[in-house]
Amino acid sequence: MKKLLKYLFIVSVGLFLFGCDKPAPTELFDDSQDDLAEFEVLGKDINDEFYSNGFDTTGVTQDLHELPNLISLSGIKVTNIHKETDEFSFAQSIFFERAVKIFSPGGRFLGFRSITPGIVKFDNKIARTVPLIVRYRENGVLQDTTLGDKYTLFSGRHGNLDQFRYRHNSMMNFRLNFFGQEVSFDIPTPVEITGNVEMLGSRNHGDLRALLHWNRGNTPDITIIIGARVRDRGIVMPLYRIRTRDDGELLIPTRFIKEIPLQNFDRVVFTFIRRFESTHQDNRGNDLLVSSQSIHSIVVNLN
Amino acid sequence: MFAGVNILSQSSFGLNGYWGLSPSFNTPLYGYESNSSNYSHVRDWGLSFIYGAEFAQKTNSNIYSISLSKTLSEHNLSARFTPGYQKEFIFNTGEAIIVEDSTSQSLTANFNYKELFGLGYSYKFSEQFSTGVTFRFFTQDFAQEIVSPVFGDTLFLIRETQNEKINYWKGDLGINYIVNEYLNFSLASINLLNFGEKAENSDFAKFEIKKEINAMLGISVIPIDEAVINFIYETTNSYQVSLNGYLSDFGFGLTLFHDEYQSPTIAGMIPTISYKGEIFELFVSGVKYFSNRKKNFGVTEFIENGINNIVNNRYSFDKLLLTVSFNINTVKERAVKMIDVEIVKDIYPTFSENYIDYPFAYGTVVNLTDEYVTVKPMARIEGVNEENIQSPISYIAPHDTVRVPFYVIIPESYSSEKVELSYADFYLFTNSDQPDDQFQKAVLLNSINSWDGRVSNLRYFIKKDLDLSMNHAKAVLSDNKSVLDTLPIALENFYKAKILFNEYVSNLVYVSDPRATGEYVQFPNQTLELRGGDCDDLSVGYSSLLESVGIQTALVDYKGNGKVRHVNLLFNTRLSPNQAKLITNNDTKYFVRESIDGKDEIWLSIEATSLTDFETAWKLGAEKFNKEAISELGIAKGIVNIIDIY
Repeated sequence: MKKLLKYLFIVSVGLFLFGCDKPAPTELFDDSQDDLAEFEVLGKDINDEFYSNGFDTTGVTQDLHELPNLISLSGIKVTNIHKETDEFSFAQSIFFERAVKIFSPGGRFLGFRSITPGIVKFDNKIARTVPLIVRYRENGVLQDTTLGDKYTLFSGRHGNLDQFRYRHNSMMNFRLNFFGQEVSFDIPTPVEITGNVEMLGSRNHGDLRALLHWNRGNTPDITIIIGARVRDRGIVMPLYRIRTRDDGELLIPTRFIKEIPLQNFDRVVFTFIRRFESTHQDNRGNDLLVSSQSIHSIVVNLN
Repeated sequence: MFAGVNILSQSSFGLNGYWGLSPSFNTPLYGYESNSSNYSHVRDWGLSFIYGAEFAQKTNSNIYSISLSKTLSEHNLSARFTPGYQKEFIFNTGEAIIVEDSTSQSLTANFNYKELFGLGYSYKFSEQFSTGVTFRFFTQDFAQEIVSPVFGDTLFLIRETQNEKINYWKGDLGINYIVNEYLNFSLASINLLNFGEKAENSDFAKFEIKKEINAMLGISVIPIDEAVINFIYETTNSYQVSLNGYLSDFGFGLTLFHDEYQSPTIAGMIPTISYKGEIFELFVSGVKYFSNRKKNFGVTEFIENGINNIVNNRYSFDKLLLTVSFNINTVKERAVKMIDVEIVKDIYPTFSENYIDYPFAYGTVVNLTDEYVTVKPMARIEGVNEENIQSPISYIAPHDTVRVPFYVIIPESYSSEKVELSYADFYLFTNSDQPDDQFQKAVLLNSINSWDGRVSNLRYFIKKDLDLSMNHAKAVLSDNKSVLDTLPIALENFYKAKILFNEYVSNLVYVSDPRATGEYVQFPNQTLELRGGDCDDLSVGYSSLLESVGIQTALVDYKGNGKVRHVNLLFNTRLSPNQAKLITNNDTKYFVRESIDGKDEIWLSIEATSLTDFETAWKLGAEKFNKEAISELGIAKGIVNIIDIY
């Protein structure tokens, strides 16, 4: 027995001294092709629906402060709460004079001055020049101002204003006549996106969530923007941007829906965007962003 | 987000490379993975540790398990603490958050599967058949980062960690059948019983350990004493085969295993060397996988295939393990074994002296050791003995088989007049207070009046209660004191016998055995009280009266030679042949026998059933003796036996 106790003591001490670790974990690298979701906040100040976001139904969500020269083509669908869908086509081109900054009377930087250096055509339709209006709130007062002009073509619910049609999954021509010097190229457009929003659970039970479906297309990922309509104002404020694999399905967890304050917002807008995008530099070293996108916005009641 | 993940808690995998119902080692039986029935060889207490190093990106070491086992008779209880039975996974969830500076931060998840402890119970119905159950406790720690929006004056996203801990028990049943020393089988369930918590978070539910019900069959073949071949097959289509060899105190083992959830086909091997000491067993084993375990694994594979075993899965690292087991036997190892017991004598309580001289049973005993063993046999008959009666010590050579005699002592106080079927317990002790082996056998316990028909055994009835006979004889002789006082001393025995006989028969009648059987004999005082008996009873009674006053007697057994068997008696007059004429001139009425000290003495034959008077009984006895014992050469032929009472 003495011998046994000696052995037991030695083993116990040995185990105590050397056995305090635990098996090594296995670290798995992310090789997932199907599941990716990248979350970003868009509307940081939910009390200022016009500040800095530049969100509109064209899908241009970049901050105007940072926006480079832009050529954009959009095929847009909007489905209201009655499941009625309107379609729009929209093209625009904006060029900035980056030497000229425009500030509000209160000294707030609003953006660079925009210019119209020649004639712009989309699919041989001459684009109109219209003011590039930005809206901001200062000292509690809503203000409008222009940064200059931009080129635009539009058709949709309010009539075929410009006889312009956005074509999905094809090539559309852009042409710029710049003081006799002509620049022309074709812009590819992605497969049309058609989304569907299925609201699951209920807000009262605290499990309201949204299951989003869309048709799979020809881009590696799509962007989903979740916006909310400011109560009684008809203004949609973007809240989050989610970039996810173009795999046709995404569950928006409860926490993203239930946290939207009802006192501020009454509807949620899910915007599905499938986009081709490329960046070029012109002769003067300015960035030129060329994008084409298919957009489907679906409005649902938050209550 | 994810489809169901195939994660199972176990398969039949042993870390030390030994498993199956190994006849030589206890250590493999601590592994519930291959021994779900908790089968055990441990005689008393057993303790086992598995400690090992794991060759991950960096080498780290830990305790894998600490097991305790206790055997109580045919029951075995065990408990196992398994701090090293865990597998942790860290991976990106596939979600990311874009922060203020437009950089992307990935969200991570940490899933940890643990088997914390287990309990086992088994019951050995026989050396061949046993069954048992094991219960094991698992916990699963899930932690996953998520993005949550916070609405305040500003809207921002935060990273949160959601946690869930899910505990559950699993239980499995198993049976073992040892066909012989060369072959045994085991059959056990996998995930038969499952009870506990379930994940509330749907994201985690997909990652819970799977609990599909399966079964496993184990076969061990021992082609030669020095080797064991084990094979286990699971209905999951996983299997493993091992060869264990022994050489003196050393052993080696090699296990090859196929896991349906791992590749290649033979996923790995477990080489082992072992040493068996007096009180401990030592194993050094290695787990070597045949696929690269240090490569970077993708999360997709984990999601698609999961794991089916916490300690043995596609992500397990190579290991080097040390297993130490102790056999803490306060119950010593059995040195001898009793194969059978043969009862050679039924118990006739009145023959008590007979059992002191001759064993009533023999045990067939095997020495199980390599050394000479001193065996102390003991026996106890229920209803007769209150304590064990020790028999002579036997010495048994190594691995020899001998017949060990068992003796019994019938206490004088035993007085049952009923014939009963009782049982005797036989014990073999070597060098401790605990018997090495014991055996129980039925034994016929006769009444105190029972007789086996052997005339020689009537002497035990004669000697029984001799005091009562002496009191009676003295009283009779005292009444005839005046007659006796006038006689020569040489005739004292003759006249005492005569007086006692005449008084004895005066109130007796001959009756057949009241039990209608020759196996019932009355004690002398019973004959006097009942006033009658058959030849056995009357001869016993008269002999007892004579012996009680110092007159030497002998029973004469007339075996009958096909006729009715008969008993009467002789008594010693102590007269010399020259003095014979003092009692008779007929030399056919007496017989000369030589005493121990070489003197010739006159013996008279008395027919005790002649209930008339002494002279008639003497005459009849002498005639019968002359005829059957002498003229017909009965003594020479062995048909007539003379049995001296003392």
